[in-house]
Amino acid sequence: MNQKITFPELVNAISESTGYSKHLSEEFLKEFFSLIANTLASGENVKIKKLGTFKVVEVDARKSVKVGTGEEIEIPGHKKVSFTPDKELAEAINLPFAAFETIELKDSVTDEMLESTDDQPLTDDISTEVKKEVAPPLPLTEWDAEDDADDIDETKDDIAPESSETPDEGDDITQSDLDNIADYNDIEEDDSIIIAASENIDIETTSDDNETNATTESIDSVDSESAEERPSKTVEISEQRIIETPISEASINQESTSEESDSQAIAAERESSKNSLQSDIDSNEETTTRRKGFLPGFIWGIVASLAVFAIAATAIYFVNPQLFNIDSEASTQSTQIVSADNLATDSATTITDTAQGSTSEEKVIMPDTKPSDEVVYDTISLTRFLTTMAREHYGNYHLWPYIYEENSKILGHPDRIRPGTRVVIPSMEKYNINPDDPECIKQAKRKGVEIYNRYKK
Amino acid sequence: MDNKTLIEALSKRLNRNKTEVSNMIDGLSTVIKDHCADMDTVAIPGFGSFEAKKRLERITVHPQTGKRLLVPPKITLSFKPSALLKQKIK
Repeated sequence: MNQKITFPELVNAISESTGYSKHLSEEFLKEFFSLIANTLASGENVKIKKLGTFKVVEVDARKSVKVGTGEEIEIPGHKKVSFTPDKELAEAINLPFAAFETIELKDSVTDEMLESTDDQPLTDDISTEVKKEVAPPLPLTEWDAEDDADDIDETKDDIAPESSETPDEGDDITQSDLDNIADYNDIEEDDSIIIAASENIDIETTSDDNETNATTESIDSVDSESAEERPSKTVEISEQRIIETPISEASINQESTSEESDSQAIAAERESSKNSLQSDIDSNEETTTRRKGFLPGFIWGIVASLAVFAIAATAIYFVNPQLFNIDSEASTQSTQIVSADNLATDSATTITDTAQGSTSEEKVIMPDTKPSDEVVYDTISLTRFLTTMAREHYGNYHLWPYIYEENSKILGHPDRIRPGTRVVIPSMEKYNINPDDPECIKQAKRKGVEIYNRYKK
Repeated sequence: MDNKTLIEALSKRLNRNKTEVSNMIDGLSTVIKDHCADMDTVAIPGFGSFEAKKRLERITVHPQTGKRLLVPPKITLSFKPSALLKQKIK
């Protein structure tokens, strides 16, 4: 950084990079630059590949003022050397700022605004990014996992907040599931989504376990305190779970049988819901064995209902085994919904409502996204670039690489697009564009750099 | 003088073949590139120095359309001829 490379250092570096001896490198450098100097002195320009062009430029005579005395003098005309670096070399050196582009200023931008921003050309961009990061992003599946973790903490303290938390969690999940479904439609990113979804399932199941552990812990603590009200409450919760789970599953089953075309996604849903239910049953059995000494009547009722449910589930499995064969990505939805709903202490009807609501929402969205990519066109002109279009259609000019990618067949270098070129503006869903997500913007920037790198060779 | 004639003249002076000379020039350009990318200055005595310079963003007016353009900041490679070379050229 800001070091001065002397001649011997340069000789060493060159002999290292070329593999020739230092002696030869030194001789070469001396001859090379003396030849260039002599050629320039004779008034000829020198063009060197991969380095640049040395030119001799005539400077006209001009009048000036002597600094000390203020006396007017005339500087006589002379020649000077000008150097233009090779394009490749210049781009390599400008690499840190390669992502920036010339922007047209709108008339609404006043001079005062420019003056205020002039001092911070680089920080401006960064600060907006930071602001976006501070702003709460849309609930993603990762966030759900975090929410669950929060819930676990709260359940350890008290059971009541858990019931108040879970409806929120359910909302979050439905939203994130809609995202997932949008992803599901995206063919290009299919694989990654599958991975993400399977990860989600893992997260969900583990968090489920944690939650059940937490509840059993709370039961233990309550036992030691020998309070009568609270244990009964927890048992109520677990009982409700069992009552609710068949209902929610039955509702999903109904939905799926009516919609055979969507069978893939919903079958997967069902499988996962079954899995989660099974795990719930296991955990419930755990809790019931712990509670046996206290309230045997409740326990036997629970065990009986469990047995009935298990038989029903196996019966369904044997009747329609092919429905359980597919493991798919959309499964997170029902896992999350069922696990979230089971914990809620609200009435069973509202829970089945949410389960039904989310599945029906899914059906509404699935056909919606497909026709929504009706083709939008725009035309490049001297004042309309890909960045301008990205700002108009997506709300952020950094997202231009997606437009470029969509039209990469007809476009060459992104800076040399002919005016009049008609480009397709892809829908936001196609590339999963979200202008409010700083991560998405970063990805777009990386993509932009990659596009420029394509034309470097 | 273009690249070809320069390489020919150099290979004659150094008694080396042309590929060796062109390899040398490639090596020189990569060394200059690497150092200037680190904002270093490469000084060649009796000739001049290659220096990477930061240029601030600025606003220009397009002469034909009259539109104001915000030119982004950039790093350029500048060459500063030494006093000796200046004297030689003058």
